[in-house]
Amino acid sequence: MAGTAISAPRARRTPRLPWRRVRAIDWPLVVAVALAMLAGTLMIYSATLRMEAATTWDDLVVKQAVFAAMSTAILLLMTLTEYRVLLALWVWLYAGVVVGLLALFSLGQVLGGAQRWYDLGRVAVQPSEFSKVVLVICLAAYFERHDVRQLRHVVISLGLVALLAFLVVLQPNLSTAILLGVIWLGMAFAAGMRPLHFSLLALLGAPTLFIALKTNLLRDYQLERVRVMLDPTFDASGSGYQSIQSLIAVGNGGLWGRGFASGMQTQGGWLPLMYTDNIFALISEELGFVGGLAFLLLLGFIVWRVFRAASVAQDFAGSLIAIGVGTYLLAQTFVNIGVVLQLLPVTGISLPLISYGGSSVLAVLTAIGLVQSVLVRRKPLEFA
Amino acid sequence: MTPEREQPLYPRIAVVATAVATTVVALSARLAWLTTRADSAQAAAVSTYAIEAPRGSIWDRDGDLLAVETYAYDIGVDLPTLGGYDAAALAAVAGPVLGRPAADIEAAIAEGRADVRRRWISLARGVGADTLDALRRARVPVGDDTVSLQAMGLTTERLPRRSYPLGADAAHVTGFLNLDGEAHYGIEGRYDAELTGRAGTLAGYEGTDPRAFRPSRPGADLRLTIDRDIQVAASRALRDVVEDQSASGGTVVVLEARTGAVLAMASWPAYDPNQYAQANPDAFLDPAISKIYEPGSVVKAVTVASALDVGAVSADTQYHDTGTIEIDGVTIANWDHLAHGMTSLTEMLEHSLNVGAVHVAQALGGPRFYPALAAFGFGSPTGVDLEGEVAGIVRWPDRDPGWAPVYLATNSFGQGMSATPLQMAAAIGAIANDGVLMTPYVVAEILPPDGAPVPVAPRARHQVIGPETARTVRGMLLAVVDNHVTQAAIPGHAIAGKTGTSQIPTDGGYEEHATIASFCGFFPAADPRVVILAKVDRPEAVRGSEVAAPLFRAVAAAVIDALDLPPDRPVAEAAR
Repeated sequence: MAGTAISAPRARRTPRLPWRRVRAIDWPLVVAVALAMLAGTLMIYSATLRMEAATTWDDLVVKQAVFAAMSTAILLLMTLTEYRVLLALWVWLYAGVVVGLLALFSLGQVLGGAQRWYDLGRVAVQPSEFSKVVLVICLAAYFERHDVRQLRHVVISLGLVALLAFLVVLQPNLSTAILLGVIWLGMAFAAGMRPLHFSLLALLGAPTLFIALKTNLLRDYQLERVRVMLDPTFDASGSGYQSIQSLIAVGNGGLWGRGFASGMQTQGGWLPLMYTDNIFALISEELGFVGGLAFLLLLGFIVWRVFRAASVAQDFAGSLIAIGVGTYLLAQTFVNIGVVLQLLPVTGISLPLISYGGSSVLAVLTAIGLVQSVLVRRKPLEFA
Repeated sequence: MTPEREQPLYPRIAVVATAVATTVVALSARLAWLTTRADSAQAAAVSTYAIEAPRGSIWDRDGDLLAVETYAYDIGVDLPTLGGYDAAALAAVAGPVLGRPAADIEAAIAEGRADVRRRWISLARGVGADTLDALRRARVPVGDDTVSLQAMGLTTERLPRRSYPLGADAAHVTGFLNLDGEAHYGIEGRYDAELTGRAGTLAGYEGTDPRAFRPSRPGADLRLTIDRDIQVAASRALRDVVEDQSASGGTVVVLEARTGAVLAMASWPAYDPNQYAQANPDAFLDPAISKIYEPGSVVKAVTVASALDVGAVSADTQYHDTGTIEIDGVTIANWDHLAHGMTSLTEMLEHSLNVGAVHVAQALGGPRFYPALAAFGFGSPTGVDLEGEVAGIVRWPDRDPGWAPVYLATNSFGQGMSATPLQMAAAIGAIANDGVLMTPYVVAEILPPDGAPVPVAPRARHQVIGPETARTVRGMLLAVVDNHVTQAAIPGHAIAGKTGTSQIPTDGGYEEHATIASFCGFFPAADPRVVILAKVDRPEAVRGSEVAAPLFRAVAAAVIDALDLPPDRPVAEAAR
C-alpha cells in the first residue's frame, strides 16, 4: 500500500536534489502551464489591440510576457527549493505576509477604490496574491504538526486564516478573503477534519454571515453585486453593466466564436476588464464554445495534475501542499469563470495563468513550483 | 507530538478529483448554454437606435437652393422643473414670443399641473431659430429677481425641418416633406429614395454605451433642370395674369426644346411648402402633370404636322372654308362663325379655323390621325420624373366604345380629348425639335454624398414627324405670331406658336361661358431653344390670344433674359 509510505513523514530526511531527477518534474504540467500562459498572452493581445495611449497593447503584452518569463524562473527556483525548509519557516512566512498586508494601509496605492497594491514604479505588487501561497505553506506545516481532527486545531488554523482574511477584507478585497477561506476548507478537509466539525462550522457560520450582512460588514457595493447577479438589468448602466456586457459577449460567441481579435463586444470596447477579470468572456466571444471549452479543459488538466501530486508526494505535508495549491487554482478558476458565466456575483478575481497581472502569474507559478518541489522529491515509483 | 495518521488523504483525494471534474463539467455546460442558445444574450439585451441621415438638398441648374434641411424646435415646459414658479409670469413672457395668448399657455400649464402623471406639456411646435433665441434671452420677473425660461423648465427639442426658399413659386416642382418626414408630390415624392439616404444605427444595451456604430449615409443632392430665375418669373407672371383676369388658375411650362429639360413649371393656385399644413390640399397636385384639360386649337398644329408628314396634305394645299361643317348631324363652326373661302393651311392656323382643321383630319383619316396623336404623346404619360403624372384621354375608333365619327372632327382642333399641360408642351416641343419627341425631365444630376455625380441624359422617345415637316410647320407657326397673334411677339426674336381657346367639359357638355385660354410656342423659330406653354383657366377675357399670349411673352422675355438669348433677326422685321 502506498499509504504507509507517508505515515511517518518526519522520520525521513529528504536527500538533496540530484540533477538527474529533474526529469521527475511533471513535464505535462509544465507544458500545460506554459501553454496556458502563451494562450493567455495572446488573448491579452486581442483584448488590448484597440486600446489607445497610456496602456498600448505592446505595453501590456510585453509586460505579461516578461512576467511569464520571470515567473517561469521562479517556478524553477521553487522546484529546486527544498519545500521542507519552507515548511520549517512557516511562522516567519506568515508573519511576513501579515506585515506586508498591514503596511499596505499606509504605503499602498489606491486603485479602483481599493488599497491592494504596492507601487513599484513600472509595476504594482499585490501582496494578497502571495498570501494565498503562504497560507498553503503555513497550513501544510500546521496540519503536519497538529492533528486537525482535534477541534482546537480546527479553531487555531481557522484563526490563522481569519487574520489574513480580515486584513484582505479591509483593503477591501472580499473575494480573495473568501478564497483564503476556501483554501483552508480544502486543506483541512484533506487533512482529515471531522465531518462533525464541518457541521458545527456551518451551524456557526450561517448566523455569522447573517449578522455580517445585517451589520453592514459587507459594503454596499458587495450587497449590490449579489443583487446584480440575480438580476443584472436592475442597474444596467451602473453595477449591472459588467455582468450584462460579459453575458452579451459570451452570447455572441456561438459554437466557433467571432474569430480571434474580432469580437464585437471586445474590439468595440464595451466589455470592461477585458484583459483581467473578464478575459474568459473575451475568449468565449472570439473563440466560441469550442475555444472556451479548450481553455476550461487546459485549466482543468493543470488543476488535475496538481491534485495528482498529492497522491505521489513523499510526505503528508507535501500532499497537503498539492491539495492547497489545487484548491487555490480550482477555486479561483471556478470563481472567475463563474462570475463571467453569471453563476456567482461580480467580484474582482483573476483567471489563473490567463488574466493579465504580474502578481497573479507570479503567485500561481510560485505555487506550482512548490508542487513541483514536492513532485521531484517523491518516493520512487513502486511497481506492483 | 506527531499524531497518528490513518491516511485520511487518499479517499479524500477522490472527492477532490470529483470536485475538479464537476467544476469543469458544470462550467462547460453553462458555457455551452450561454454561447449557443437561440435567444442569445445579445438579442435579449441589445437595443438599436437609429441615427437620422440628413436628407439631400435640391438645387436648381445653377446651384441655387430649392429645398434644404434646416431645423425647427418643439417648445415645451417640464412641469417638475417649473415646480412652484408662477405659471402666469412664464406665460406673460413666453406668450408674445411664441405668438400664443398668455392666457392660453397659462391654461395649458394649469391643466398639466392638475394631472399628476404629466411631466411635460407642449407650448409650440416647429418654431424657428429666431424664436428659440428670443426664448433663451427672455427673463421672467420673479419677486425682485429675474430668472431665465430654461430655469423655469422650458424645454426645446430640435427637429429636422425642410425649408423651401422659393416657397409657393416652385411648390409643385419641389413637393414637400410633412411634419412626420414623409415626402409628398414633386421631386420630394418622386426622388424620396435618393434624397433620404440611409439611417445609421447605434446598438447597445439601453442606457449604456453603444457597442456597434454604423454611421448614417446622407441622402443624395439633386441638381434640377429648373432655372430659378425663369421659375420665379413664370410663377409671378402667371399669378399676375390670374389675379388680373380673376381667373381660377393657370399653368406655365418652359422646356428646353432639344433636350426636354424642364426649365420652369409653375401653376396657380399653388401653396407654400414651408407651411403646407395651412394650405388647401387641393393645391398639392401639380396641374401641369396631374390635371387634364381639353387643349383646344393648339392641337391644330399637331393635326397639320401629322397630315403634312404622311403627305395627306401639302404646304400648298388650300381648302374652301364655308364657316361650318356638319358631321353626323353635329355642326362644327369656326370660332368667328365666318366663312373664309379658299384658305391655305397657314391662314387656317393664323385664324385658327376649326373647319379647316376638320378638313385636314378628314384628309388624314382616323386610322392615321389617332396613331399620329399617340406618336405626339397624347394618351400616354410623358414619363417626366415627377410624382403623380396622368395620361390624359384620347378615345380611339374601334378601341373605345364612346368614340363617334364626330370625335375625329373635334379632336382635330383639340376638343373631345384631354391632355396635361406638360403633354401639350412636349408635343409642340417635337415640332420644335425637328420631329423628335423628348421625354421631359427635371433632375439633371444626382449628387451622391460619396462618389461622382451621376448626370441624367436627355431621352428621346421617337421621331414623330420628319425634320422637313417640322421645319415647314415651324414656318407656319412663325407666321401665326408674326401675322396674327402679335401679343406673343418680342421684337428681334422669331417666335412661333399657336393659341388655344377651349371649352371646359362638364358632365355631358361644356361650361357655358368659361374657357381655358392657352398659347404654346417656341423660339427662335428656325432653330428653337425653348418651348413655352402658357395656360389660363377661366379668364375674364375669352380668347387665348388676349390672355395667354401676353403671359407667354412675359415668360419668354424672362427666358431670353435668363438664358441670355441673342436676337435672331432684325428688330425692324418683327416690327413690320
